[in-house]
Amino acid sequence: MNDLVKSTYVLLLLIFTVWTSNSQETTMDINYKRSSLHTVMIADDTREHSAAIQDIFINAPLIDKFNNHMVALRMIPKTDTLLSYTPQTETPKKKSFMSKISNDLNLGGNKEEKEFQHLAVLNYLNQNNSAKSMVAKWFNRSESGGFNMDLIAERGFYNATDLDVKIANNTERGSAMLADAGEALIKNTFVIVNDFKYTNKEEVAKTTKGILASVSSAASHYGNSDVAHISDATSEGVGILGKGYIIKTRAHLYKLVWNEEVASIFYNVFWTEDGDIDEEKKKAFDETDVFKLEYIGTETSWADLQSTSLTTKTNEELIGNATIKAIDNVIAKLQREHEVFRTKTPLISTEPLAAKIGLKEGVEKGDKYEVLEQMLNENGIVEYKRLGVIKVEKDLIWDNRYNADEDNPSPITYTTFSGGKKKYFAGMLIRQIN
Amino acid sequence: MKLKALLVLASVLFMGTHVNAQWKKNKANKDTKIWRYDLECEGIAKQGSKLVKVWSYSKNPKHAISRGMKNAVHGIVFKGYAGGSQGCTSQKPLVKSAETETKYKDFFDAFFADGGEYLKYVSAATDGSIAAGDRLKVSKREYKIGVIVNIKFDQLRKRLETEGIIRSLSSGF
Repeated sequence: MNDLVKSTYVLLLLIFTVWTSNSQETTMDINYKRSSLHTVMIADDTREHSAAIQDIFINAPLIDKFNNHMVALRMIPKTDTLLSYTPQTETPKKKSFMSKISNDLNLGGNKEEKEFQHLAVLNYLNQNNSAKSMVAKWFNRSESGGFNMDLIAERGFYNATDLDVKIANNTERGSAMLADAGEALIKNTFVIVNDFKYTNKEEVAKTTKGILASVSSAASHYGNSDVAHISDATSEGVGILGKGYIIKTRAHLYKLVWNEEVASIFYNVFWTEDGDIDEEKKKAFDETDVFKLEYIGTETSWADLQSTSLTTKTNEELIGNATIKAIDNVIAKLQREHEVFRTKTPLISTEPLAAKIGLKEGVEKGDKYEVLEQMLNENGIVEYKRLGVIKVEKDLIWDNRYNADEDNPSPITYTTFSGGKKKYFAGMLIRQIN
Repeated sequence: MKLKALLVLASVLFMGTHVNAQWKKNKANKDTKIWRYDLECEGIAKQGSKLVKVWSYSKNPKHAISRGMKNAVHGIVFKGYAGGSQGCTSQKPLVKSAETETKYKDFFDAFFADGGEYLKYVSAATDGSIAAGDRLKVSKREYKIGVIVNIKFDQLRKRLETEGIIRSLSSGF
């Protein structure tokens, strides 16, 4: 009995420790900044409908939450010799049972591709000067090689929150301060490289049907009518339901390396302006390989596009829809997993429960946000405690996108949330969680 | 008879509300009376002004926000602030000696009273909105709230000069 009490006590203590460590965070950049995104796809020309897939990928719209930072390189041919990475030789590890099964079934590529693809892609991007192209885009490099700050200023203005604008209006420099703040956005430049793996449900269904047909005929032959009947019915069901695509997306995330050192090199060694081009600096930029990307992480997501055999959509249309769904899914997953993408803002009021974020930040109905209280612990370190979760109200989302005042005039000037408003206060931080 | 009872009830209710409002006001004053706050520069303000963030402490976050403006003016008059980022240089207090504060106690008591003259020299820079990170629970029962305000520095200085509390810049050394 005594042991039981002891064990219960230890278990409760453990649960409490895990709960408190989960509910309080100490490190968080509370100032949300818009990220700029470039997306790339690993293209496999041997794949069915590959031209259609590539076309859909290139033309897929980027969600409003990100600045479009697409540069020329959008496809990495799977067979390109530059897409390689030679791992250092290590003592081979003993294969686990699951990895053996996974390899035998070839789920999501071979082992080498799975383990080293992100490094091979990083090599490829760096050898193709992707980072340099992205820097050139930030500084609006002209054909003659001159840079300017126009895009940085534009994005600085667009990134500014309602509060930033109010503060800037009280300063000597006014809105010029917001334009300058655009420079801080460069370090939030990312590349997502997608590797799609398509599974045609119809083909799977055909194979399954074939197996079921064999079972049915064998059962009929041996006089087992029940088994034959069930096999036929199942086969029919597979035929009706088995249309559409399952897409597995493996997305590798990379970040532009932009720190004080790189920025200083850029301004001192490469900066030149139209009208007064310094040919040496222009040449130096053309030839440099100082700009790099760094690997952040890999996420895998699935998109299942179900369709019946009665659908009128062509395979290409189905693939198109599934590809867009797959892109959305993987971006949503990256947003959940990586702090830098999660929108953060203070509550401006509790009656109604509201915040100054909207379509510009990609807010959608039903999106969930956690309400955090900032607390100073006994060591003087700020901790964040989750007080609850609130949800974006339908039809009460602020359209704060570029030119929304003219294109979509609306009296809504903030986004309204639902949730336990009584326990929250204006000024509490809310953070996107889904 | 019924009317009499209703009148008595109404007056009791009125008195209750009045007393409650007064109690709340006193409590807000008590929470912030000791002038416990921190002042920091928030950027280079327009000509003749100072843009500052004032951190006020209170058991009730609402009090800390409402008292922020009073604290900010008090800070400019008696505390000043250090320089820092965003091009900020340090600012010395307008009233440099504690003796002056004691000597003009009556003036300052009236100046910083609720609804007092201090309100002429301060405005909320963010319409009362609090920036991310500016609402902090510092202990079980206390909050620290940062509010950004704009101080009409030149006008405030002139007012204190008119009262003879500080010397004018043109009066020489």
